[in-house]
Amino acid sequence: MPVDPVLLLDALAQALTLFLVASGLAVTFGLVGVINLAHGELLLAGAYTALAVERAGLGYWAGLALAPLVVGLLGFLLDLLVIRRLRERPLDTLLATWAAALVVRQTVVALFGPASHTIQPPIPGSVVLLGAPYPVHRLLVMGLALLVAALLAWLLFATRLGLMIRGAIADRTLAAVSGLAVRRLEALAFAFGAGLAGLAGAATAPLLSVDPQMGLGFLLPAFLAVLVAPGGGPAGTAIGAALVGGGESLVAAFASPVLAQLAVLAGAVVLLRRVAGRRAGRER
Amino acid sequence: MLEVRGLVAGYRPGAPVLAGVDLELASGRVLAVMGRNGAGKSTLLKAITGLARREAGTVRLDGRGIENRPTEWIVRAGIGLVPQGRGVFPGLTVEENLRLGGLGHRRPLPPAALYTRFPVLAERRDRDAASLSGGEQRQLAIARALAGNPRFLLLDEPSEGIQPSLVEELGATLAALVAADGLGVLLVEQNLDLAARLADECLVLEDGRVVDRLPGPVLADEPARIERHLGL
Repeated sequence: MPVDPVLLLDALAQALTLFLVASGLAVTFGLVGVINLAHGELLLAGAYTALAVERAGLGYWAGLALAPLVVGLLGFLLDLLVIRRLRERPLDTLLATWAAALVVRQTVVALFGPASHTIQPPIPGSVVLLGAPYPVHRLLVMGLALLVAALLAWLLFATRLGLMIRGAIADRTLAAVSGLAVRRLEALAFAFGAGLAGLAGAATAPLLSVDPQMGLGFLLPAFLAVLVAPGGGPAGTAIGAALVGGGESLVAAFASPVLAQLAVLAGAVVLLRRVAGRRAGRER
Repeated sequence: MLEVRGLVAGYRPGAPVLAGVDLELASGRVLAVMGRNGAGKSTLLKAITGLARREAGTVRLDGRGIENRPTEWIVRAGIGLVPQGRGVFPGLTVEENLRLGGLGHRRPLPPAALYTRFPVLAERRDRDAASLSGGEQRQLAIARALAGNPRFLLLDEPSEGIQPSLVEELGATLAALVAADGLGVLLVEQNLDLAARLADECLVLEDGRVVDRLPGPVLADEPARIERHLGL
């Protein structure tokens, strides 16, 4: 059976979009070790920031630039008010971040209503790629994901801050013993990871229907991408996103969307086993 | 001068491991802390560096109280800690471990300065720290703590799990650091030979209390006095 190249392009687009969402999660999960169930809502906040900025007449690009800042600030507050108070209490953190997700979602409903909205792509239309028309904005999102990957790789492997973050991920206590202000580093990482989620929300908003539920669909695949990622760092997250996002997209195209969902569900079982395994490892 | 007075500390409220410890450590001196397993030796080092929960007592560095400061502040103020176990960052190269040890410090030692003390690390500079042998990892752990250029070094069983020839080498390196750089060392150690070689004085801990203070030479000249405490 000949493979439609556009299908492969779609799978790549799906993987890169998921990478954009999961990279923020990888930073917070890797360093802070918290399963943040509000990550999808941080993406939602990014999309609605873009919507609000566009409605204010400032255009899409201003929204794309502002979303990571607004959501980064939201993440900073989430860490300050919730996450750091519940450190070493993983079950409480799950509940609290889920509650935070509800608060964000209901705030969005209160401010923008429950209906869905559309954001027009800044560069509408398509270009012919591999013999078929392909939406320009989807290509822009793919390019942005690659840019984020390069930025993360530079930040983690070529800067002092990156060395500190990798050290704190490898061993939090030893990082403190080496003189690093680990809590401040974690707060920064959480805000940065949230900012990336906000950027992902604003970037993908023109491709999706912007509604209060849009964050939910990203949460599980993003966690899967982070958990199946081999090793840490952007390269691992990219491989995880390719496996989960690209895999789901191809299974949906060649078999059925239902089977793709089942594959994600099977992945969720693996996720729970790995999380339980990590916790057991920490408690030993 | 590092001074500890009446230190009561542990991990859970109301269940102290240390029951009032006093000690003084001057620059260029080595104070060994010995005792059986569970006596509170590691907890003493953790309590000084803010990693264990302090319930009472004071820790002073040059007369200034540091007992309420966070770990990173205490370390930056000049107290390095080499914790028990391997004490290196896995996944980071040897050189990255050393650079990380110096970040955040006012006068860090560059890796090149540390390689002169620990030549084997220079040969392994681009290797993942987790891939080093046990002895090499202990050397890296000590070098990482020295990268912050501390005035006092707290060592938790540096000879644990490494072969006798390396213990000998480690002893020579530490002796040189104390003699040449004026480093003050608080050495928790089960290896009597290493402690005897380095210590100016030895504290014996039992159930979280100092039960004996012996001059360093006693460890070498009358080992029976310390062996009695250790149950050897």
